[in-house]
Amino acid sequence: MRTFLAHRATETRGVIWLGRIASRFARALRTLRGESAQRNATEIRARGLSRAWIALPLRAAAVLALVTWLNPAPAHAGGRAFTAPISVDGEDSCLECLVANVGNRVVKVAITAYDANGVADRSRIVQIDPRHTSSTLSFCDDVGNYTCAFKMEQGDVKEIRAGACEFQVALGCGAAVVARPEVQ
Amino acid sequence: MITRNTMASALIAATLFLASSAPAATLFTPPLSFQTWFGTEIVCKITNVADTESKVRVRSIRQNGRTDDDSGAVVLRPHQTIEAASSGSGRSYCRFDVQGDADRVRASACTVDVPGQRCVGIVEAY
Repeated sequence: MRTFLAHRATETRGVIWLGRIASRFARALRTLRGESAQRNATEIRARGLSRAWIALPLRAAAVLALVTWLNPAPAHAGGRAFTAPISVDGEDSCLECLVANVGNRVVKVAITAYDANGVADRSRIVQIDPRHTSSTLSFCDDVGNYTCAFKMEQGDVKEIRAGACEFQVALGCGAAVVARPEVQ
Repeated sequence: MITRNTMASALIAATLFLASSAPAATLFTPPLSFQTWFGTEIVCKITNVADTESKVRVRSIRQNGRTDDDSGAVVLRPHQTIEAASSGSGRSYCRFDVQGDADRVRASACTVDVPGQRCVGIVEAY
């Protein structure tokens, strides 16, 4: 019995001793892990910073390139453009108001021809696809001075180029004037 | 080492981007009508008014958006002029691409009376 008890006591001491060793080992391991984790964190932070330092301008450049490539239409919309007056004789020469969409999206333009008294003589609304030219607002049966006005119903005045010309049947556009956007 | 390589790549990319995004301007004219069977066509003309060479490109564009004539990229000497034309019948406008500032050039679309080669109608590009 005594032998048995002595044996058990030795076993218990052994277990306690082993437990202490394991506990110390675990503590050391935790310390090591902690240091390693701290080191890893520092490395990752440094790497992250250098990556961020590189990635930020690259991302900015990519976004800028994309924006440049897409060449988006101006954020604001609307506006009007007017030509200087142009005279037609109603026989050999007619008035033509012309407009082209030089932008990247569909625009809608109200074209109006005003006579010398400021009366809106003719008017029509045209929808123009990108890079296309609208059908013209033209008439040949009137005499006098006219101006063409172009009012944006959809899109911005910077997206169009417009003008008026004295259309001669056997020639095409003779005298011509550019429509300038109105100053706000 | 990896960081240095990455930084070098980034610098090269940034340089390439900056080089590719050198200032450029695009000018357009309003459209003009023409009728070739009566002897007219639309001619897009551009002159380099700068004291140094200018790289430009001229295109005449028909009412359906189709490019009729394209000069491609051309380097103009000071005061040199080039042109691109639309023939047939209808309406065309001109597009001018300029490397550098728009003030380096003056450009226009002109209804040319082909037999006489004179401009009977003209609009300036902006």
